[in-house]
Amino acid sequence: MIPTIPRLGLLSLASFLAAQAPAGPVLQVRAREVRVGDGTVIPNGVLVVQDGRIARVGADIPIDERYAFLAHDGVLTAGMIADHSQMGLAGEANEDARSVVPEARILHGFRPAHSAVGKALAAGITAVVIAPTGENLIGGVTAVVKTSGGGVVDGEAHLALSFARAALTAGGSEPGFFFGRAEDPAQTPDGGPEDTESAVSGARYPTSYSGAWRELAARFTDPAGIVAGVARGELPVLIEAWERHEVERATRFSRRFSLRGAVRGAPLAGDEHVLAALRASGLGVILGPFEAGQTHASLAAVAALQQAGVPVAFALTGRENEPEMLRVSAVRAVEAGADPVLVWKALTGDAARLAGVEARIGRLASGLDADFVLWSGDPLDLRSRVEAVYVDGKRAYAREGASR
Amino acid sequence: MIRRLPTGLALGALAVLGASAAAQDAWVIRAETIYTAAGDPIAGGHVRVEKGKIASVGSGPGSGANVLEAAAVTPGMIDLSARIGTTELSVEQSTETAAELSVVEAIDFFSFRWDRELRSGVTAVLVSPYDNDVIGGLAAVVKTGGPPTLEARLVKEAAALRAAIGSQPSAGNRTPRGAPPSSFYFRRPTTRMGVEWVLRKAYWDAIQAAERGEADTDPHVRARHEVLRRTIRGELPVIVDAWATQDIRTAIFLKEEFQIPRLIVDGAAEAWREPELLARAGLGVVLPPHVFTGRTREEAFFAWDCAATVEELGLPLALSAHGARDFGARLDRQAGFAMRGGLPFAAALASVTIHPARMVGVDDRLGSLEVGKDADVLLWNGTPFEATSAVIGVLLNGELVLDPRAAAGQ
Repeated sequence: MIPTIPRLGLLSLASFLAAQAPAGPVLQVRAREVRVGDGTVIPNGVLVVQDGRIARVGADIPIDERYAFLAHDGVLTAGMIADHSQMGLAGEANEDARSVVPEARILHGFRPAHSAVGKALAAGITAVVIAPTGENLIGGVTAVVKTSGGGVVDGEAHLALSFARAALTAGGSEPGFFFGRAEDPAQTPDGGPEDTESAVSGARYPTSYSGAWRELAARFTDPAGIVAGVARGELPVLIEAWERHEVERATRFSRRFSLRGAVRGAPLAGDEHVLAALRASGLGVILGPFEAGQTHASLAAVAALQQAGVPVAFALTGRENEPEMLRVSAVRAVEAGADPVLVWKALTGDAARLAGVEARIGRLASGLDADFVLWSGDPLDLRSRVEAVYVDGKRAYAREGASR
Repeated sequence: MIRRLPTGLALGALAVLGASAAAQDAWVIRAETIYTAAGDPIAGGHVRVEKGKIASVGSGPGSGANVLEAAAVTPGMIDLSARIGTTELSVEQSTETAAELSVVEAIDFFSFRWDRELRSGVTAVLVSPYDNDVIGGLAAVVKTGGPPTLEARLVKEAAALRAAIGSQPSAGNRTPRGAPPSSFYFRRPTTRMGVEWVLRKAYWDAIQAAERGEADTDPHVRARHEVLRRTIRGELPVIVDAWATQDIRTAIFLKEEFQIPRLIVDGAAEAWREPELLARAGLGVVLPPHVFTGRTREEAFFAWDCAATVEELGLPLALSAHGARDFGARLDRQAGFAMRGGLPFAAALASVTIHPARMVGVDDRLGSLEVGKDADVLLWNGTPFEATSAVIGVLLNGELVLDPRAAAGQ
């Protein structure tokens, strides 16, 4: 983290409220099945919530009758985490004027009360990573937010980079007709990157993969500001890259500058060479959402990556922004051969790890935030429904007509 | 091939194949005729390949365990203008003179077109940025096969400086007349005159900067100037896209004004029109694919005896297929077409092997069958470049990537 900037997570309303709550167990939940998140299933397990956090999880925990108790005839899991999303940003997910905006903070554009956020909650998603689009070479700093209560888990989760075509073509890099105000023509005709940074609209530097590499390499060779924190390994990166050669380039860049984090995109990550490059880089991969016409190769990438030991999480970006698509994507990966336990980890614990918030969310373990979901059945069975969602130990959503 | 295996097995399979590749690291190729592109053909000869390099070439059957047979053997072909593996995103259009930028970070080694080149006998290509800038940047020589990584494919990173003359570099630029400029595309050049001006100014600036000293110059600009000065010193060739007579003339005037020792014109369809000028300038020439109508870009007429004319002038000549999709238009066919236009066989062979290798300075490794060079070897089922002949086997870095025994049904 950048030392001069206060951790926004500490200022979150949820933490503030939790601190005001009376000490002592406030909620005990027994479910037919408690899925801890590492493959362990506890029949008739009990979860004890205290001060908005998980106090205990286990099979033989006696119920203290002085406190609230809830019996759920279904499955209890940790809340799901969408590891890449632009929800609640009202379309303002990237700063158009310049391609390199490392100091931009996506959190400032996030509206917790946006209806999309509430829909995500109702789908069993308790936290999302909000990130800039891949249209900027350096799009700014991502954040991890809760879908209820306005809580911010981490206001500086990653620095978002892009090796994708979109970063080179945004603003109409290809010759054509442009609207908009003029930049200073005296600065533009034949300069290097310095003067083209002034572009207000129209075409934007860089327009090439080579120019992008040079610009990013220059920023990391002589790092300043938040990039310096990334170069020191204090902040991970979230690199958007789609085509195989873009992913390969991203892994090479990441190795050269010893970066850690994840690639967002990489639909063909199952390709043997892409897979080898990803393994060598230590980066995770954020896939999806899988649309109706998704090719088998990209569905099978989940299994291939997980078998190779590359951490995977799922995204909720793109045209299919329906929050249910997160779970649907995971189920399709299972259908294509992925291990259900690992896929569930991709929706929870691994997603938290790739977002750098595994100490706060993503599993049912004592000390972690009490973000959990009560399902009518197996969450990787699409017939199962979300009955209730708890965030920071508080019931944030209950299905209409559900028993509670 | 590895890619047919399930992905989960791929890593294990790589290790296994690595071991078996070591076992198959040596080949003896026997042929009725060995065309080495370094001297006379050898009748009834062999080429022995070991550890990715050529171990011996000579008459007689040679000795060794893994034997391949063919009617003819040649070096792998080299295309200096293959135009594959890049898109319009290979050129940095925020400037018109991106001399210091290298194309290597803009190559897509995952494109299926590489495999097509490799199987048609092209084992190395010069990859250049697109010609949307007057000076597009540094072009690189890469192999067409092997793992899709820069590390595995790269032969020479800064093999030539790419430039363009003609209508292409100015095509996306606009004059601010009638509307306020709203992007960096509102700039010179918008005409051929402007293109020539930008090119000359780039060289002029580089020379002036050297006289003045460049302590205060921006590092990118300093690097740009240094690349241009390297071309003046002859350390780096310049490959200029120029098709029509007026553009070839501009290239020649540029070469003579700034005394650029190694200048190659790419396209050069009308190289046949002013042979004296061409000979005076001592240009290298890369010709485009032959077309039956003769009509090419920029209204340039590509005569069928163009290759023969350039050869008679004693100029370095290379042929190109521009990454042809059509099986009948690939590089081996271009050599055949040039022979139909009067080019002798030996010159046709040189124009797809040793000449292009020399023109971009990779002849220490590629371009001929000589001991110590990369084992990029083609096996043919007949005399090369004949309409009835085809490449039936390819070795790349000593590895058999197209098996002639499969073609023979063995």
